[in-house]
Amino acid sequence: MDLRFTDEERAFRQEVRDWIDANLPADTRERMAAGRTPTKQMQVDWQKKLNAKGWCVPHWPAEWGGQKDWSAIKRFILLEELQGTPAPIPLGFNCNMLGPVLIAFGTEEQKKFFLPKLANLDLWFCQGFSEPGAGSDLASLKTRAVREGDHYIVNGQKTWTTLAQYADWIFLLVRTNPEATKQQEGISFLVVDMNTPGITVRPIITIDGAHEVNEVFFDDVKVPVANLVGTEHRGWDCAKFLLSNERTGQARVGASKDRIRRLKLIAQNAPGGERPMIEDGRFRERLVEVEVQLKALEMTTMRVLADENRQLSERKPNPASSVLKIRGTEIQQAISDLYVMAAGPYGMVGADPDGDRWNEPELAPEWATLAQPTYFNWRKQTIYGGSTEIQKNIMAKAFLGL
Amino acid sequence: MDFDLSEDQRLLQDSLTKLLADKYKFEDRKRFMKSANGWSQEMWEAYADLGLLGLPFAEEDGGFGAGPVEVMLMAEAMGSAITLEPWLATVVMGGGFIRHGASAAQRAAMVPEIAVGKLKLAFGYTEPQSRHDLHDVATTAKKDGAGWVLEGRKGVVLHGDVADQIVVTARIGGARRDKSGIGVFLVPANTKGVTRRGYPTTDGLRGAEITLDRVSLPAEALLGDAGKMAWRWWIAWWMKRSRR
Repeated sequence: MDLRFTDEERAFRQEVRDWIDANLPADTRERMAAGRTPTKQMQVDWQKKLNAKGWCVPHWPAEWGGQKDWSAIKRFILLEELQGTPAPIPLGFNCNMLGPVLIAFGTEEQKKFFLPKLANLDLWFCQGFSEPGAGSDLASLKTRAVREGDHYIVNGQKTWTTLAQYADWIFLLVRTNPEATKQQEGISFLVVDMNTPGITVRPIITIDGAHEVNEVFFDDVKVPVANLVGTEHRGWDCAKFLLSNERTGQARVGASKDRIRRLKLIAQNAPGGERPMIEDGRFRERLVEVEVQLKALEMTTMRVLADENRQLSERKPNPASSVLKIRGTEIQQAISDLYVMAAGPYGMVGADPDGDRWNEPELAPEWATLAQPTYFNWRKQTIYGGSTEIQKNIMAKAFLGL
Repeated sequence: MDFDLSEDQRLLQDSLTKLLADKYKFEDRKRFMKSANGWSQEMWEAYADLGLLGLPFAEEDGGFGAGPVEVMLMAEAMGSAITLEPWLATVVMGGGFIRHGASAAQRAAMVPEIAVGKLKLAFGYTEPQSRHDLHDVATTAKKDGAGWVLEGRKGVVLHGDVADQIVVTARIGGARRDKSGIGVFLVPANTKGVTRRGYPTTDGLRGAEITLDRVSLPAEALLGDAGKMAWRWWIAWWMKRSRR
């Protein structure tokens, strides 16, 4: 065992850092440093640059644009540097969710058509899993797809659909066999063009004032049978595989490290009192506690990643990713709480997370006005991608044999 | 110990709860939030009609002489509908200073106006540097003949954008973080030198930054006795109020 990075890995980290510095547009950098999400155009432009460099989907097989000789650690370093700048990371729906599913379950035609477009973000995908009555209990989903000739006719509703307003396509879980004895056995996995007649996207404005999620309605939507991924009625296999990959990405160690680094600078200069915030004993205690947890998470993440090549080839979900999901999201929430503490009363000043701020002098620093919206928004983290309770059930089964 | 509500208290609770259930559904709230003020004038008048705005003020001043239990029942009902009107700012916070610090003449002039919904108040105590330290007051109040001149900035003042009169803390003496030497002043919002910038707060209410630029006030603008109304004193009455 040797937990230090090798010289080669350190050199690679420097290479990534230099390349990001040379290529990341200033407006993208500024927007993300303030704690906001990139605009659609920023995401698209940056992902195309990453893809041209070969750094967008290093975890995919080489024939589809992956990096054959990259270790898991190397991929981790790249991700950590992107999150730590922070720069946009490759769109998860495309690169970590649908891409691997198509690689594992898709037909040759599907791979040829979609994979290059996913990596290059020529097509923006969104995820049609959750429904008004099916969230953590995903298998109870009701959206129906009835086969008629060489089409499925899709009817139903999806909800909490992240960035559906940007999406060109959606990947979708639908019920194809309502008579199956087990709920999980009657589900299929489809990819659908968002321009198909009968699809309506309605925004949901969340408590932070942002338009991030949507409701998506399907009203007699005709989907070619060729858009079925994997075997009919066996879509649950794809979903399980996808969710396991989703969880590994949710630890966001690099992003949390960057948020802590910025928080320390903020707390050194936070106004008020006789001493700066960073010298407040209780604040320090909580900050250090999160930092220690983050270090432990970082090591655990690397352990899981080092295992992942093997796991991918066997197409088996790794239950350890549940640990990362729980810990990673709890840490991110704890950090968002510390930002609210640091912002103090001026954290009450309402921000406009989507648009440009008022055309007036600022009332408070942007990080302070974003502290509470971020705090509220991130409550979702322990719910999405399989809630903490679901993750604990998975762990109880896998590790404890319960 | 008796936790039961009296008949009058139950009636009060029912009347407000019914009003809000009827007129303050979540969709209504969203609509009110988007209006120019960020709250509903119609609801404000409905509270006045129910007698809610004059509730905790003494009857001889034009109020209804209710106590903290009644205020609590109102706060519960207002909270469960997450209402947006400046009730807390006017009746509880600003109104608290009027009850405890204003002269009989001031009370006689203001309380009836508060009760009918014509006079709105706010309390400005936060400053850009003060964070949660109530005694960290950089705003100054200097004697000017018989009156006072205020200079400084108050921040994140709840409903400070619509208040007709703003209660502010200002330093009469001592250094910025001294716990004594702080006076509480009543500042009519239309006084020369008062500028306000309102904005929505993260909880859907309204806040304001209030700049005081050589604001001249008469002697009676200082609420209570300067010495007694100092920081220790108003914290003490605040706590006493909540215990009573």
